[in-house]
Amino acid sequence: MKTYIFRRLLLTIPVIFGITVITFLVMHLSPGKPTDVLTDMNQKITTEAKQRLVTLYGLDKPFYVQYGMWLKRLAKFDFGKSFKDDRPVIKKIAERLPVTLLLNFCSIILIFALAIPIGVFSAVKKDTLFDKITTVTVFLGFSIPTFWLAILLMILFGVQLGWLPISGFRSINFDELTIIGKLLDILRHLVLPVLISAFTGLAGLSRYTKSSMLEVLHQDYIRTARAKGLPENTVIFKHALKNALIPVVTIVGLTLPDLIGGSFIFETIFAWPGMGRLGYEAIMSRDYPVIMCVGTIVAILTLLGNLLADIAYAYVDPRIRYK
Amino acid sequence: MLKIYLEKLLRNKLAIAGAVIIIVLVIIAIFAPVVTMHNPLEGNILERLQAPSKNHFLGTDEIGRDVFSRMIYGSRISISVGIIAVSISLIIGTFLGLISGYFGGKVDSIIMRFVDIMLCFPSFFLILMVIAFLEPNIYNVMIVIGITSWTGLARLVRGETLTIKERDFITAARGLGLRKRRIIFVHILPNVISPILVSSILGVGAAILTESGLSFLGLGVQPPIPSWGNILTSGKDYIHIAWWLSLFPGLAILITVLGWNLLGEGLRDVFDPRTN
Amino acid sequence: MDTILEIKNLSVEYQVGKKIIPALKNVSVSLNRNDSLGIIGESGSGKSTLGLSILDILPKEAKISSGEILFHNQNIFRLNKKELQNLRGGKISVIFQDPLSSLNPVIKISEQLRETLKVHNEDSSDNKIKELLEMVQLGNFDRIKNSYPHQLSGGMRQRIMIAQALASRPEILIADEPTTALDVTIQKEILELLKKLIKEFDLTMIFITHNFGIVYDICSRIAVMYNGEIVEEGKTSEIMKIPKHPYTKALISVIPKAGQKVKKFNVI
Repeated sequence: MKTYIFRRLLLTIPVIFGITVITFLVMHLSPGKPTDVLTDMNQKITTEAKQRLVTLYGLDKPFYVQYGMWLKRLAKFDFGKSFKDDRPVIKKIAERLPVTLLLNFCSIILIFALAIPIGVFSAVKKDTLFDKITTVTVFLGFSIPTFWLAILLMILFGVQLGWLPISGFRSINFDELTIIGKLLDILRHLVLPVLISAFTGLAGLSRYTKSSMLEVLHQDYIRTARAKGLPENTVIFKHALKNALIPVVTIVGLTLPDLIGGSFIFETIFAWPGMGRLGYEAIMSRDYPVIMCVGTIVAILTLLGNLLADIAYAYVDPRIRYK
Repeated sequence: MLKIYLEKLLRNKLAIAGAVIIIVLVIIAIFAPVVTMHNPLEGNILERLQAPSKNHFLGTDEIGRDVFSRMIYGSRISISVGIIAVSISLIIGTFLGLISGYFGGKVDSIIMRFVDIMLCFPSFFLILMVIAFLEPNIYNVMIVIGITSWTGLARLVRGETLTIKERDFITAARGLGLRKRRIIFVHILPNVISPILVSSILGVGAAILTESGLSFLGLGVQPPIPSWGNILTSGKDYIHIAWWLSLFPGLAILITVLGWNLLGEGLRDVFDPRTN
Repeated sequence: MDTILEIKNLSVEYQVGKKIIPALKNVSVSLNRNDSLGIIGESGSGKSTLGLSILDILPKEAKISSGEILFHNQNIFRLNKKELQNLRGGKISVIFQDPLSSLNPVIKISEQLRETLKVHNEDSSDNKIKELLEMVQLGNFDRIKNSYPHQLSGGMRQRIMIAQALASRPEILIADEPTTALDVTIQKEILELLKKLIKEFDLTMIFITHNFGIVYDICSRIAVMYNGEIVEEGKTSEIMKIPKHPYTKALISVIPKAGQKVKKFNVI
């Protein structure tokens, strides 16, 4: 297995380079120079000042030189300064990242806690009412626009019933609350975004678990387990489940980046100060350094997620682990 | 062969339900001017934010435009974006998948590495990033969704090509000296059609969701052109006083995407050899 | 004559989509203590279905449409869950054709053996497992105990399946094509092992196969199956000498006899 992991790690290197190339290319997609945003806003800037800005960012040099400069700065984690408020981009993101991670970790826990049992039971009780209901819910989960669901639930729980807060991740009087009060407050703010964020993920994972379980239940070794006289519960939860969960484990690594990618919708709707919302605002205001940084970070996280997924798979399946 | 598929299709309730929804939708979109009474682009500011009534079936928005008309014309946006975006990704994905699978070797490695890199960017975020650097309008939306959604299809086609490549009739064709292009397009392609079809139909649903998400965020179709997504933007802003702006567009998206998903899944069952 | 198993008028059908396919048509056969019954037939004759029915472990698509199976005069199909679990692996065991797919790939061998012992209330200590392995002529306990099925050879896996099946000393052992998936050289070893164990454990056997050579070697009685029915039944020696049914005749005629020139093929 060590060789497997090593080879896998080696493969990530060209991919990382590829990520930097793509983000770099995207940046230069727009007509005109990226610094035009800065300069066009301000009428007073002279042509010379504009030119100085261009030179500062190296935008007058040939492409490959620019790319080289970009790489060098990346290695130092220097993503430049935000166009909006001139603060170092890295700092702005570091402030926001924990909030995003909190939201997404909670979502993942919810997704796995619910989806796996649902998937397993759907497989074992195939074609029963439970199965049919879950199938319908799964279809809905795939077809519903999540931002719409968010708005509807906001109207229902926030506006009409007033049970849950609909914006921010802590209340105005947060600092005055006790420790328990603070915890509860954050929890109340977490409920809606986490639920909605988890809904689509639930649909996908429960379906995946179900089909994996169904596949396993058809295998010969399940027949052997029954033929040995093992009680049905043991057959399902020991023999079948262990095998069915192997491919599911790999999905853990893959779900986190997906969630992060989608979390800027939720952070925007629910006004959470997370990295996703930062990225969205940066996009709306064409704050390129921030956009590039968020993009790179999301891509690297996805890469890590994939890597984790592959390693987990190798670890969990004894056929690969003990070659 | 085709007859068997048609028979199974007609018996498959999912597929039929999906197809019905889609057909109704297409008809509504085509006959939009006939079905609507008001101009979707202009509104009477005196009639703003009215709840659904006899005159305005689904109410009015913040500029006084009739929501019903905007919804009907919005269907045109959704369908065209869905179909065109998927067509683009279909062409790219199938082409790359075929040559990657058939030629193997260096070509395959390069293409698959490229796919790996693209897959590192969560799709929606990638689309957002790209749109941020372009001007948001319906054409850019179509193109961007198209050029970012082909990766799954490419892998699928590549996989199928690899399996089919080894089958006897391909070896026979090569033995007969047929040119590579002919082999790929005339012999291999027809056999990968079924998974491509399923993937594309499901892709239309996904594209519609993406377009409405982009428009909702203000990065897709811009008002006054009506898209279900950008009507929802108003919905969010007037959440406390105009529930109709939030409910109906979302419902439309839901039903439409559901239709495509049902048809796609139904087709998948039809083509699955295990259910024969 | 001590009849311990009786299959009476058993009919089984499979439901595939909308179609119903009959697998066993009104099959009756009995098994006496210490019999070695060979059930022989080609693929699709229903022989495996018959074997699986005895333990009531047919796949979901199968339905038992009529008949009963009596074990010591108790109808297997009327047993409750607990009784059925006691029966399976406890009084009647089965070994299957492909030991690689029939053993759980992600559970250690020792654990698979241990759970069998435990569920039938036998001693499940390491010592007992070592004993079991030695019984099937597998010596290196330390190496095997922490292994997974894919790390062992085909012959070793089949021996483990046998050990697992005999762990709680059943009365009847059903062997469903146990040597078909193995190398020819290993086949002989496994057959010899089975013969030895039959004597040692006083077993009654049902041997399902398509190979007349094996049947001749190990079985005292034969039932020939064709298309879901038993077409001929009786002592091995009698049937081999004087086959009555045309199908049996044809089956026997395709066995290559030493020194004989093959003239033409009989179409069955």
